[in-house]
Amino acid sequence: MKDTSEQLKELVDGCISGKRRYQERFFKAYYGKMMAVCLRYIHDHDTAQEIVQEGFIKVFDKLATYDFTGSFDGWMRRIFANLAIDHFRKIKREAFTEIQDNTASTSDPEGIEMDELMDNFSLKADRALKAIDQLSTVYKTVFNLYVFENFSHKEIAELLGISEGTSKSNFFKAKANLRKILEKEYNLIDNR
Amino acid sequence: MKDKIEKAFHEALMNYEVPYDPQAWKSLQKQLPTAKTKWLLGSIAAAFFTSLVLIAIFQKQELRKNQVKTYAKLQKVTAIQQTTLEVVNSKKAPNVSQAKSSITISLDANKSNRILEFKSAVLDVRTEQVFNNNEINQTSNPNSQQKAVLGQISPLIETNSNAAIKDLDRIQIIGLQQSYCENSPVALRANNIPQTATVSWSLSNGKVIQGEMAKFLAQKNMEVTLLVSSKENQSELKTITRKIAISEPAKPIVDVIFKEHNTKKFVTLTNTNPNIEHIIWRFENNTFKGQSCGAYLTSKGLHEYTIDSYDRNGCFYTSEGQIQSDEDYNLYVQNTFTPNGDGINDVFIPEALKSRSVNFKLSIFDKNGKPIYTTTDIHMPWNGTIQGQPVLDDIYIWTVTLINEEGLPEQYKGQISVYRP
Repeated sequence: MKDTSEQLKELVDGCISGKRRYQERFFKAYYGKMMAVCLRYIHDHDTAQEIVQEGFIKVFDKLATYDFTGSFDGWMRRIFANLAIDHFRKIKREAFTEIQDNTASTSDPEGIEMDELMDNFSLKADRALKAIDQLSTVYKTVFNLYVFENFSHKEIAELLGISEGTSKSNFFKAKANLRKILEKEYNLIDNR
Repeated sequence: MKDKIEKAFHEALMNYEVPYDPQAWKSLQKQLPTAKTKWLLGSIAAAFFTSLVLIAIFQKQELRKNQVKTYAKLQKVTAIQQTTLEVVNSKKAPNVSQAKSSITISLDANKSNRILEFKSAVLDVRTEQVFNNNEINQTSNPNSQQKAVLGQISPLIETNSNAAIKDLDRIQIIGLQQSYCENSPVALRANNIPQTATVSWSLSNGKVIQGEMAKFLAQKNMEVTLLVSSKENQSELKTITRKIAISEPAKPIVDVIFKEHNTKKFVTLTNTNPNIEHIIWRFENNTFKGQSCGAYLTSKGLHEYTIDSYDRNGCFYTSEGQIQSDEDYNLYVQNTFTPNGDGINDVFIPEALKSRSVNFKLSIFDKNGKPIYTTTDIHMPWNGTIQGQPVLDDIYIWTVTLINEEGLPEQYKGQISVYRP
């Protein structure tokens, strides 16, 4: 269900005034989307759920500062993504310092077929989440922020305290790794 | 520019939503500050700094007579934490002049925000008029601030039976929507319940809910009855019955379009009911979102699909359907050939390959997976031999790997019988 901007405004206003009914409706409307955001960062369902809870408490608190310009979904997603990143920082202080990874990305001939295959078959959400989960924290975070949260590499660099170049190379390595992960899974062609 | 990996993940996850989990709301709810707490905190804060400023309108005589219902209406002005108490007389007495007064009230913060709780509040007067034991006197100096105890307003209400009836008239059910989706939550509240009364709800399915709030799931043909009874003797004071209207969920109407595509049958399912807003399809082991979905039908027989849909009102409906495919769309391969040299059906090559100029690799294996023949040339079909020697009459496995017209890899597999009559 798409919220028209008026419906959204009514919903947001209701939540700001602390009305439980509106809060519940709001939660119902955004739980699924935000849980999906958190699962991209943290594949463990229970932990993701905790982040979601924390996120909604924060959102209810911050709703009054939303000015109805720009995408509301985008605004929400950034809040939840930030919380997930904070979570990484909490469990590991150096979560985003660079790691040396030499396994990545000489493009092997299978790569072309992979691309073509992915054109032909839609990637299922749970499979996509599982693949992302296999990435390292920093790759996963950079990939998510860039592809889904619409961060630029500059913004990512600032947020994670890494250089812009590192963000870019992490992004490419993340993609190369995802490609490998999927290839392994699809395990296609030539079954001799 | 997005590359394919980015695109694939973006498509898979950008609009992905985890199914709603009511349990998640329950546990979140516990962590949210309640509206009531907020209000109380607000009142306490307000009372702490100023005290609440209230406006009271009294009618002299009747107030003195101590007979007519007087009720207080509370309006909360959140922005400046100012609370307005309007005390008005319900009975109009034209020959009595109305007095408007600003009074200060110190609220017992433990009382809830309901109107009648103010009955026991102690009123301090801050204007030219002094209310003392329900009597009104004119003060000599209008600007002087005098404090006097108004007394309790509650006896005015409770000692008068007419007033009690009036109170009952004000009871209402709030929160009832025009219609509900089946099984969606209904939350109702009984409003303006007198302090002397207790409430319960009964549903036509036999369920009874105590208290001013009723929460339940909407069902077909459901009625809800609010029962107000006296705290003192449990006698029934009032009942209100309301119907819960159920709006039927809109059902998807599915348009099926077949298309020959890459030697396979591609079927597109499209919903044409404009009242459906949101659809999740499950078809051929895939999940799709959006108004349409599609898949290749690679085998003949029935192909089932299920639809979870939400209409404009958010009502959920689940349905299913079947697609019949009459042919095995598998490169139009025959299942038998007869390599006996009679010029009829002597060689094997999947028919579809002949009509398409594509790069392919055809491999033949025996039943144990041992390779027998491989060709990439359309003019070099299998003639039923292995290294020049005729194979036994038996079933053999063929595989075709090809890059189709769109540059995409496809793989096919099947069985072929060799039979020499």
